[in-house]
Amino acid sequence: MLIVIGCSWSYGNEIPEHDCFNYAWPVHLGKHLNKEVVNLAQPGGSNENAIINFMTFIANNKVPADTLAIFQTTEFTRKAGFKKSSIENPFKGKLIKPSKWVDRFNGWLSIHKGADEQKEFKNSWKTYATIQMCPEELVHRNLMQIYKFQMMCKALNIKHLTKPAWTHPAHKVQHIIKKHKLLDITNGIDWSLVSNKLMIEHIFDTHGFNPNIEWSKLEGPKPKKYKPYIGDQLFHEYHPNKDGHKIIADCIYNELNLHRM
Amino acid sequence: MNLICTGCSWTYGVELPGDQPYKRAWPAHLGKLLDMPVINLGENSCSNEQIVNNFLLYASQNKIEPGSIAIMATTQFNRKMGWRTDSQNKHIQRERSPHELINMHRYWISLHTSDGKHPEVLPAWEAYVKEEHCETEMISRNLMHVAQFQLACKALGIKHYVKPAWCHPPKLMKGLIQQEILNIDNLIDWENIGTYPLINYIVNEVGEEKIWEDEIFDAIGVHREFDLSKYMHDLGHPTEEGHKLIAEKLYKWIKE
Repeated sequence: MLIVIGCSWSYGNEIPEHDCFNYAWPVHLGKHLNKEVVNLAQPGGSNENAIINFMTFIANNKVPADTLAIFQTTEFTRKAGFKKSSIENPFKGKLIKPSKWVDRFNGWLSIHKGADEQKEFKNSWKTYATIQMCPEELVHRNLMQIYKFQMMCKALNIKHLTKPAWTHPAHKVQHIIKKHKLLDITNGIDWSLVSNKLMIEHIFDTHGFNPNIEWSKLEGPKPKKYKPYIGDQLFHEYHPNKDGHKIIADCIYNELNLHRM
Repeated sequence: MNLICTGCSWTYGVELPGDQPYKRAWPAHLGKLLDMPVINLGENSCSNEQIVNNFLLYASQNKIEPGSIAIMATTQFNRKMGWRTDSQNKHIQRERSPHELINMHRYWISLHTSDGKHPEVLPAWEAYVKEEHCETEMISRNLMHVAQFQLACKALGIKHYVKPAWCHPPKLMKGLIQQEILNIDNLIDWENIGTYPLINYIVNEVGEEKIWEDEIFDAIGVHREFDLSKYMHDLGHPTEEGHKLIAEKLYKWIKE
């Protein structure tokens, strides 16, 4: 089994088909590995949401031996919040879900400003962004999710890889908490199983494009900005297109081979 | 081999006299009974998420030897971790920490402390209570922390126990989640979770029968009609006698 957790980059957003996740990189990688794919990607989800989805799935399903889990990390500014109204007034999601264990419209959602659910979380987001958010908070909170993911996989004998999608690569931003003893969890993380190459970089490489991004900073990038340089055949506005997803799957497959997974 | 105890004020030893209360709290007494050095990661007023994060912070910076035992003493489910942004520039140490990796007032705090210790996070607390806080949210969120603690211990290869301190016993609350998509019961090793809170050791000692099934949201208030003065301070934390009693009962539970 190949279990994938992540955000829109794993869900297949912008692929025009209704069942976009059937064209996203996890499907191609599953074919390369000859493994059944469980795609738990949640469009708009935070890294915390990814861990919640992972826990919910493994709590309720038998995970076969030789399972591989891939944690596609997303932007660190996203934060899990609970949609209280979904308890009192549940309704079905508008999008087809790749797995019944993922719900984009009820329960745990991301309160980040781009999410559809912003109205529900207006003050939660505002007070987070204005009172709490800072580089140390962002990096510590999100690296903690990677640490927890690795610990859970280790406990359950699940092989694992963490792969950044388009921003905030853990390798490059860890320096922000390393200098704070009370926040430094970097020694707990198995960095050999955290890719230092972002998915978007594989697409840059294919196009021979070198945008000179300072990944060690938390500001960017905005994928839309790179659209003119990487062409229509690999990229939509914010997300890879079908060919882009195939390239990502090929590159992750090569990376897994290096780890003999 | 160490006894690693992570928890809230009940583990830290709030209300015990002196500036190092953790040296007289239940972990210290349990360590003597088990003949193990104690790592007390108790943090006053913290949430269950912080309790797990403190444990993971310790695990990331220290070698944890096989044979060690970890105990998570869970706290109130309505506490929620928040970040104190201005902690970068202020180092206020009002209480001495039980461990170098614990700081009561910097970085991560519980938003519920906005009522006194950290009024600057009051808007965040209010927003959480208004927009997110409900029974399902609290139970879902807190049971995830219990599962994360257990799985971290399993990954580290050490024995682990979870015991609620004074309210919100995970075992008695798990059935309150109705939604399948929020149910992680099967991920939790319920065998190693104590059913009743530490406070029950004390109230049982003075003769009260357990009354938890109907009173899970107001633990301390419920027991005010009994004379607990030998074992409990005024604000609801154990006296040293109470901590000793808790340690003895925990020792018996662990040995069983």
